[in-house]
Amino acid sequence: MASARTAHLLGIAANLNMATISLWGQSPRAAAILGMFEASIRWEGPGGSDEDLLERLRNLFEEAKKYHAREDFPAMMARLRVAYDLVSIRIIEVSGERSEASNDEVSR
Amino acid sequence: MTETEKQHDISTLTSGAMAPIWEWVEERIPPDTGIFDAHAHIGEDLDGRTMTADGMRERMKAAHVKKSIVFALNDPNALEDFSGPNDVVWRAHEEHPGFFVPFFRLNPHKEYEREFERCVERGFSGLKLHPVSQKFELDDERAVRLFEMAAKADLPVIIHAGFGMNRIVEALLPTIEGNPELRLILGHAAFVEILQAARVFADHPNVIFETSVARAAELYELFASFDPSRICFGSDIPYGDLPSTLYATLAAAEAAGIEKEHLRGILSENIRRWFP
Repeated sequence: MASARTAHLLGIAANLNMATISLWGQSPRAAAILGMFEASIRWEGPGGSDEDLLERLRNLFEEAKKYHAREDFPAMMARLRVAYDLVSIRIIEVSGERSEASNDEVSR
Repeated sequence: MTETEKQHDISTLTSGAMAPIWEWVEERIPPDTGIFDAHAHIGEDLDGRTMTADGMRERMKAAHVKKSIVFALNDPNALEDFSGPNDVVWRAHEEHPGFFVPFFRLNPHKEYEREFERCVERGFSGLKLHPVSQKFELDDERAVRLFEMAAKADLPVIIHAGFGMNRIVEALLPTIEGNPELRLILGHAAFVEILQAARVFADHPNVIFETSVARAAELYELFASFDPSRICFGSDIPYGDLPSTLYATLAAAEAAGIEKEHLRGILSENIRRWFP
């Protein structure tokens, strides 16, 4: 299960990373790549173990879209950056090497 | 909402889906930590980004930041020597005493001796160099000469070592070995080569890593492999922001098992060794 979850989360991270970079670079394809990220978080992951994370990502993304439409770059980018970091920390956690010191509900 | 109002509406960074993130961050900032942001900009950039001294102060207050290193953006008014944008930074320092640590910025391709001397005499606290914006390699002889001048003047240097970089470690090492007294801040934690930078610069105590807009996974690599007393927090305002960069730093530190005493160092005390 850990490998399936990691694969799923890596796909999400890849789409989010592409979207963030394309927004940074003001690519004309940014909106399309944001759509790819949205699709990757729409459905449940392997075993449903990461649904808490996915729900958090959906909330951040919904707001990021809203700020994107308003051309509020800082508010949009803050949400996408945090979303990426949430996914990354979860991947580290799933890898089994994450410190036991962190067991809180935000970063999990 | 006007562009100015939008820029100053920092509540958008800590509300909605960001609210639990910000709450999590605030809970983890050790009590009485006067956060020191080691990387922020004041002025305007060729790409349209801007930040004022007042805007910086509002952001600092909202995020419990007590002091910030500030320097110019890649300013369209830089002309030959960045003197105009450097003056903007100095004015910010004078108008907000005690809150900003002013660094001056130079272009190694241009005549820089006079502006270097002017800024040192004026009392600037450090030098900022940006290899991507000013299109130079870190081992370019004109840049190396600037590093040597800074070392001689006992002036810390912060270099952009983030987005768009290719050669960092290999290009910097001869300068660092040749100038062990040079105090160097690796902006954005040299994230493209973060692990190798951590390995190679481990034995060079005057090199410190600054965390702005590096991602949590990259910072995890750093925290898991490097002396935390040589890591300092940065935001990269206006490209980064305080809530999300604090989150990346604290989440990575927690994942790597960084102790609370070291967190206080990363957020404040480590960089204060150079700028009390």
